[in-house]
Parts: sequence; structure tokens; C-alpha cells
Amino acid sequence: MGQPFWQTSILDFFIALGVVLGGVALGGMAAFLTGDYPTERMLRLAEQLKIWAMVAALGGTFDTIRAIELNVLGGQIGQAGQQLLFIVSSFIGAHMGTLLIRWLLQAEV
Amino acid sequence: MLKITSQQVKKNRRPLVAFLLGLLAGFSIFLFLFSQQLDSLYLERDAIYFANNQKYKQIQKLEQELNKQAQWQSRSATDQEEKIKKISVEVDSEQRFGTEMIKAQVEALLEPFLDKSMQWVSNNPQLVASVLMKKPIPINEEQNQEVEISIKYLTFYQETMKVWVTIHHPSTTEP
Repeated sequence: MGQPFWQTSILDFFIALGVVLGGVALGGMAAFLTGDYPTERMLRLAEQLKIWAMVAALGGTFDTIRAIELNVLGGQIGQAGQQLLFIVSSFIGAHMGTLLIRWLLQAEV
Repeated sequence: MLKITSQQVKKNRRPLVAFLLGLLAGFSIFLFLFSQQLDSLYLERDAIYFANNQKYKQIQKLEQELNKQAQWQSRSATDQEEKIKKISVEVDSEQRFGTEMIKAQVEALLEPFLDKSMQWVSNNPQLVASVLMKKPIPINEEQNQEVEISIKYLTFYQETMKVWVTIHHPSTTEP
């Protein structure tokens, strides 16, 4: 039981990180090609994509929240805690992506 | 001629995708490294566009002013050249008869002003007044009647000087 939990956590973390990094990189290219300011656009994208990166990592927040609800009502607090930890893990991944972008670009929005 | 067939594409799919991914990766790295310089260049471009736009507006404004000035100058030049070609006299009098005679005589008195600059005369209306001042004008030769006239109004319009005169009878005007 422990291995799938850690696997899922790491997977969520990296998916969220990848969504932010990839989205920002490709969004920056689009900004460059359309004559927009790349740094500003990339920083904004990093902020905007954070929540969507978490959603993408979890495979849809609705299902996760429903699972939490079912587990809590079913008395399986450990399972509900696991779901919460997946959310936290994906949040950390998304946030780390945003931080990396900020450090790379050496700028603030 | 370089000819790429679909078979060749299928055969080299992996290198092609790798090339495209490499392109994207390279572009991304370039952006992460040089996006700030790009930003400053874009900012400079925008500033130049703005300055250019402002200058263009200024040029347009100056052109408009220049046209206005030129129009004004040409108008004032024509005004300077405008000369008195006709003198018209209007008599302000209670008496109904003899006004035509007075008109003719006043016109004769004012003849020296013909072909004179309108602007000059309009700037010195006292000249016209002095010509007519205290000048007895006979209105009836048989009865030896005379009147004095004074200027009421003086107008200048399209090469015509129009003079309104008031009649005074020497007996009534003199105290």
C-alpha cells in the first residue's frame, strides 16, 4: 500500500511541475512569436497555470474531492488523508515550477 | 531537387520528432536565458513607436498651423492691396429734397480718396472727416441755401467706401 501512495505522490508532483514548466516554455515561445513581452507573459503564465497544473496532476479535482467525501463519510480517514496528501504533493510540484521559473527569469510579476 | 516522400518521413520519424523537440528545447532555453533582453528590446520598440507617433502628431499640428498662417498672410496681403474704387454717400437728413445734390457734392469732395488704400483710410478716418468738416455745401443755388455736414458712419466693404453723413443747417447748429 505504501509504494502506490509514494508512486502517486511523486507522479502528481512531477506532472504538476511539468505542466507549469512546459506551459510556461511554450507560452513564452508563443509570446515571442506574437510580439508580446516574453518575460512578463511567462511569469503570468506560471502564476495562472499553477492551479491547472494541480488539476491536471490529480486527474480532475472533482473526483478527488468526491473520494475524500466518500472516505470521510465511510470512516476511512486514512484514505481521505492520502487524497489530501496527493493534492499537497501536486501543489508543491506546481509551486516549485513557478518558483523555478521566477528564479530562472530573475523577475517578479 | 530535394524531394521528400511520405515513406522517407515515416522512415525518419524519430529523428524528425527529436529535431522538433530539440528545436523546442533550444527555443525554451534561449527564452529562459534571454527573455529579459527581449523584453527590454520590446520596451524600447514601444517607446520608439510612441515617440514616433507623438512626433507625427506634432508635425501634423505644425502643418495645420503653417497652413493657417499662410492663409492669414495671403488674406492680409490682399487686404493691403485693396483700394477704394467706389465712394458711396448716404445722407441722414430730415428734409426730403436736395439730398441727391448733397450726395453728389460729397462724392466730389471725397474723390481724392479714390485709388487710395482701404486700410490706410480706415486707419485714419479723421482724414475723411476733416475734408468734410465745416465745409458749406450749397443745396439751392437760387435761394443761396447752404448746409454743413459731418460724418456719422464710415464703412469699407469690397473696394467701396460708404459714408453716412448728417446734415446741419448753419443757422441751427451754431449757438
